[in-house]
Amino acid sequence: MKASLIAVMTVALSVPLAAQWLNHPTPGIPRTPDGKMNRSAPAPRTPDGKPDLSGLWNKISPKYSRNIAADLKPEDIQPWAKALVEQRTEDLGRDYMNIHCVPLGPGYVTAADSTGAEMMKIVQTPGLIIMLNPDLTYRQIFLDGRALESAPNPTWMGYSVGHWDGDTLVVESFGFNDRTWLDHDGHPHTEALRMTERYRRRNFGSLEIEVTLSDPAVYARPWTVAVKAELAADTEMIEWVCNENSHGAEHLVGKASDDRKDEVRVGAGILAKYVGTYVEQPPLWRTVPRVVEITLTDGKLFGDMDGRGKVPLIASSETAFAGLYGLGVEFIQGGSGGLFVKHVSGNYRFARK
Amino acid sequence: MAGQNRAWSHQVKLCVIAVLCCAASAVHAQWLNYRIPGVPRTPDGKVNLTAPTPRTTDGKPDLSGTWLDGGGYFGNLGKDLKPGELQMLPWAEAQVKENQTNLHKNDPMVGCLPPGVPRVNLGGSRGMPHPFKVVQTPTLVVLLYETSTNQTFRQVFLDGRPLPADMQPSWLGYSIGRWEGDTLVVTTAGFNGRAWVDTGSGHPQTDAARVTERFTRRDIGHMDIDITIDDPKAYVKPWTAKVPVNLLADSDLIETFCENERDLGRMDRSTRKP
Repeated sequence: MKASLIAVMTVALSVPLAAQWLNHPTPGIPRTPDGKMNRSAPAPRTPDGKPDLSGLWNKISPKYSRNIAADLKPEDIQPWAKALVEQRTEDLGRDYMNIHCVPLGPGYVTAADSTGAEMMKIVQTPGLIIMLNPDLTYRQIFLDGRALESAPNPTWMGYSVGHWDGDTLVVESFGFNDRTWLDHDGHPHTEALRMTERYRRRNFGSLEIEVTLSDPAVYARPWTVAVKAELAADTEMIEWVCNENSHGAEHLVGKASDDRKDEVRVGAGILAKYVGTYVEQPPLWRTVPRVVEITLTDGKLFGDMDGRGKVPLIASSETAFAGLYGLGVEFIQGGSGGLFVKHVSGNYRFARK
Repeated sequence: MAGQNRAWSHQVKLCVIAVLCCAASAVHAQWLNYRIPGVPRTPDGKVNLTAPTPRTTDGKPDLSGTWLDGGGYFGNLGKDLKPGELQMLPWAEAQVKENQTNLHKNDPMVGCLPPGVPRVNLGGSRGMPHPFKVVQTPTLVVLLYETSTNQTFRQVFLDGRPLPADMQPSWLGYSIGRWEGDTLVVTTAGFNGRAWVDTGSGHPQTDAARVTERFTRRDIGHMDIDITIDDPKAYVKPWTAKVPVNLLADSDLIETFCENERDLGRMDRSTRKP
């Protein structure tokens, strides 16, 4: 089986686990008469008047999770870094952090669809905010007035200090090692990386996050990406221990370009039948179901999942395609149509909208 | 300084005890000597470790701080117990014995897996201490851990929820807490049965285990944790160990990560000739 059909990124379609407290009503949540969270209720505040960011959040960052540099011009990225990204893509992303069970480093907020990083729990106290991840990593953000050190010992998770700018929590981080990728495509960073995150709880149910990255040795200018998070009510994080799972590396054989060598030609009439919007059925654990958009341009089929970006699909038969960020796509014949997104953990059914 | 000693110990620990070689090679980190604001100090500027226990605005003892077991329970949680207090079932006894002869190669932490509860509290040896940090809010207490494998954490829910009836097995279990006077009582269950209770002895734990930890902060510098292991599949009767922990004043946790079982191969010497 082709590598691209089976795995590649640990992204994405992680298997839902039946776990506990997943249906325990979260106390203190404003609710509408039908018992659901009132997302548009005002953001809560702590006794000292600051916005309270505490809670369990689903992070949503499809575009920048795949390509953190999506908004940069090609000339803003050093040639060696571009070449490295190309190589990492060609190698099916087999050195992505989850494959080796090392932390995501600065990427926990932006790489929101990596297994073990889909959610974050924020626990806020006046002098310290902690962020907990399902993969059992955590960040400490000190708000006790200490400053970042000028030459910290590099670490996976970095060092973070925070302060309030009005109702926005500003978190500055430094001291990351250079062993992590900023996204699934494999954009690198150096130990000089500085990250500034701005967290603003718009209302009870939503958190807006801006992440500014500055790493002049790789990127010509600092740039900012926007990430959203939605409060996850009546549920809890599930412990995810990377080291007890198969890391997936055994599936990552071959090269991304292998799919091109075996590409078959499929008539435009057949491809045109696949064009449409497909919605994940059932929507697994996510608040928002995944959506795949299939389009046809100049006789070629393209796919996009959740706004990560349009990518060309490579036909291995009239119904089976590779190339969706390393995932496979198989169109269901007959009935009302639909498709399967094929991942190492199984086939995920999407119904035509 | 305590921080520098800890940093040094991280560098040398790979040579010290083979069984935990998989430990992350964190070296001196920052903020290990940061002067924490808002704590009572003696005239020489040190934290007054015998000042009264601080309290939160709701009047509960505030357990927040960075704590380290200095008592060697890492080796054997039952070390202070009298004969008969810790009675293992025969299979458990055999396993503890086996651990002593096979270089601990069955220790899950050698494979970079998490320590369970209560092992995660036991702080490592004197040569390679791993403190933990308590972050306390009225409805949730979070325990942040350094370990000799990966950093990890536990959430202790104080919002009145019961333990789930049917728990998906996990390494660290599910924890709820309540206040009994000035003692925080944490009950944990839902284990996967693969973690060990402690390190040196490697007392086993099964999926039937229920662990009760009673945290009492005596003063600023000192906290007692009474740990009761109720695990009828491994022990004849519940047993309790008293583990005193000390505040690691003006210090903090160091990042620890374990990379890919890189030391497991070196541990497989169980067939060596006597």
